[in-house]
Amino acid sequence: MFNQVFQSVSGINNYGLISTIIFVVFFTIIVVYAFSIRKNELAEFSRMPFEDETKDSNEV
Amino acid sequence: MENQTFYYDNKTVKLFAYATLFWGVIGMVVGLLLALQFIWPQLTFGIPYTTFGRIRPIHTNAVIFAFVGNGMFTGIYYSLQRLCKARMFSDILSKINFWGWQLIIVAAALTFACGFTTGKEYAELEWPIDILVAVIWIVFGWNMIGTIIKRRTRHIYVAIWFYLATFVTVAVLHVANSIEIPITFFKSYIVYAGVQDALVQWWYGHNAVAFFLTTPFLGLMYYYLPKAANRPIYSYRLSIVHFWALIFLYIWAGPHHLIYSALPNWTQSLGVVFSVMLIAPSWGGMVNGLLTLRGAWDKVREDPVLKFMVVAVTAYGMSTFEGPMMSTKTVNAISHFTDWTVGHAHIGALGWNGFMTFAVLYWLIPRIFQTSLYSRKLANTHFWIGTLGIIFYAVPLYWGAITQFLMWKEFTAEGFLKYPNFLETVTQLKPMYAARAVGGALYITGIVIGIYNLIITIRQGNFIAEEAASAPALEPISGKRVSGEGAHRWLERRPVQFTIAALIVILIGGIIEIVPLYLVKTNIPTIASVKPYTPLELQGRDIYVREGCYTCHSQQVRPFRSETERYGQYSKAGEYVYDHPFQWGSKRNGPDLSREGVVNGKQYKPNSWHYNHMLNPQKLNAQSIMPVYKWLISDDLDMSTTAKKIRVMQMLGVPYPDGFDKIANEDLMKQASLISADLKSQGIDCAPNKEIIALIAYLQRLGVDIHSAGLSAAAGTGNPVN
Repeated sequence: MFNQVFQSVSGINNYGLISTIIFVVFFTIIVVYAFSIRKNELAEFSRMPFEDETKDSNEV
Repeated sequence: MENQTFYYDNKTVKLFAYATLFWGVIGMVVGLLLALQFIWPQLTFGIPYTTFGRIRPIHTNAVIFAFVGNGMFTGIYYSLQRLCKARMFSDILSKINFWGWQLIIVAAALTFACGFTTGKEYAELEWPIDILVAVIWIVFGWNMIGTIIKRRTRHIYVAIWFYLATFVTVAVLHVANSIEIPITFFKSYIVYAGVQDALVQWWYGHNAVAFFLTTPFLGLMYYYLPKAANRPIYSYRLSIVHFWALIFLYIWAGPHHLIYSALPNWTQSLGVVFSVMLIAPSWGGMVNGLLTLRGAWDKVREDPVLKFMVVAVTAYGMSTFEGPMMSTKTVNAISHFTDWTVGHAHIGALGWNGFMTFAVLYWLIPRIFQTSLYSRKLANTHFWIGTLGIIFYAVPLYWGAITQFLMWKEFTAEGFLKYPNFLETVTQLKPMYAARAVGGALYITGIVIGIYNLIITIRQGNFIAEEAASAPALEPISGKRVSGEGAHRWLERRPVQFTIAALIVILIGGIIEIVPLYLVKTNIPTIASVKPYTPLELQGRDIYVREGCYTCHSQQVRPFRSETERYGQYSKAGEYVYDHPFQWGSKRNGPDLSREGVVNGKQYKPNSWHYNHMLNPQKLNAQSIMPVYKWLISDDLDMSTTAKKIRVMQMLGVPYPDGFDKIANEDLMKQASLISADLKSQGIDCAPNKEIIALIAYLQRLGVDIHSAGLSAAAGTGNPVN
């Protein structure tokens, strides 16, 4: 069924397939990188908004 | 390293915050006026400057670029300095950014009211203001990147990634979609034509949503939500995947605004596929935001800032599910051109952008004024009235949209359209339009309460223009990758290279979608019978653009039986090759006009009807919501620009004969005299040099060229579907 659907779209071989492959490759690289970061580094990065010198005494 | 003392610039933050509130009220009050004009068209007051077509761009631009834009700058200028532990790169650039942006907004409002527009939705600004926008945007980027370069932190926090992607992508979109050839100081023709213009425009339009209304606000979410909840973002790992997947996918989705149009099918399919895929990163971001509140939901009950943020992030999640759903062909077939699109856009604008902006302001203003919020109760009142306003706004429009598409598509047992008169559907919608206006009024009421609360907060506080901070200087490190450093980790400390990487990622989608449309000729099959507009029709078309007719009328018949029965032949790519700009529109508050001129066609009306309709639409039909355009009847056509317009069209490839510009006005008057004489025969005395004559000429040309036997076979686009 998918084959028929794709065949009915003019140019899908050239554009759609290439586009999807580019994304999958890109996405895979990013996911691999994200999971390669050490936990202590992630914790350090995620605490960056709290490292400024602004006093937090004036809570809303 | 030794601790360094420096000062955060809060003055610029304060100015942007004030501008956000001011323009927010202006933009939304204009929106309310527009909503009321659907019920009482007399509220245009019979003057050109307040007609729907002219003030709708004021509303959309004021809310997007003035309210949300200033809100975005407020949030960025505050958070960027603190995340970089550095003052903004240049105070002068900050001032230019602020005052330049306000100048653009004022210029936009004045020029739109005067009818100076390119006729491209959300990109209506004429060329001098386009140039100013580009300059001010570069100033913003320069100031931001300069600040990042002189930062006192090694890693660039993920919020700043979103800011950088916003800067570079908006720059690319704005420049690519604004390449125009000037005719006068306030009139130009876009270089793209027809289908190509439509694709570039919606590549821009959709990504203005993506990179002006979404990515900067996601950046704000990644800074302000953890601050307000007093806990780090749920998953920094997820934020990395969220960022790259989002900016990669978003840029492909533009063609979903053109489904079932004359755009080549492969482009539409790409837009649909990537739109559906976009749910994943969008919801990844939403989940990351909401899960940050794990274990802190009790604070949401107490803290109005978190209340606003939770509804904002939820509205983001709703919009980013609804958008892909509307992108699928099945749903788009019924949702497109209806008020569903307007409801969808407002869930995003009022819920996501509006509420996030107020969350930021409620959090930030007490801090820079060294005080606490005047009244938590008033903030909660603002929150609940605003939330009710969103619901009252959106639900009637969804209801109205269902009514619209059911009525547009209903046939009798004998096979005829059950509601052949478009006005019948408009009349049914009036109660929904009234309810929508109530929703808008509620939302504005909430804002007024919020502004009052913030004004008292400001008056009881003590503004710190220069906020002292200290941090150790950053130790110098090689610009190249150091031992053991991965490519991405290197990018995370190199703002310029990071921006270039984001640029490459967003360009991939644009290039693959747009470039083949120019290079592969079979994408736009030409139609031999389609000829350039006559000089009179060209002038009339420019009046059509000036009055913003595209804000209510489409020029795109989709290949559905319900549309071909109502309007005539469905639209083909080749019939728009001389349209600079395209005028397909995005919603139908009035009928489609692309077959308006086909004599004996389903939509044809004589010249005298058009004259009388522009003079007083309600006299022809009391239920009509069309504004009056009586100045078209009294105003003379500006013929001084005709020759220049013909020459610019020739530059753009429109095949007027050599030297035609010299005889263009002669040709114009010849055709105008014929229309004038026809009106005279109907008892209407109208000189040939009046604007109405040109507009009638244009309307009577629409659809004429392709109305010839055997065209479907020549265009090779098959049969209409149900």
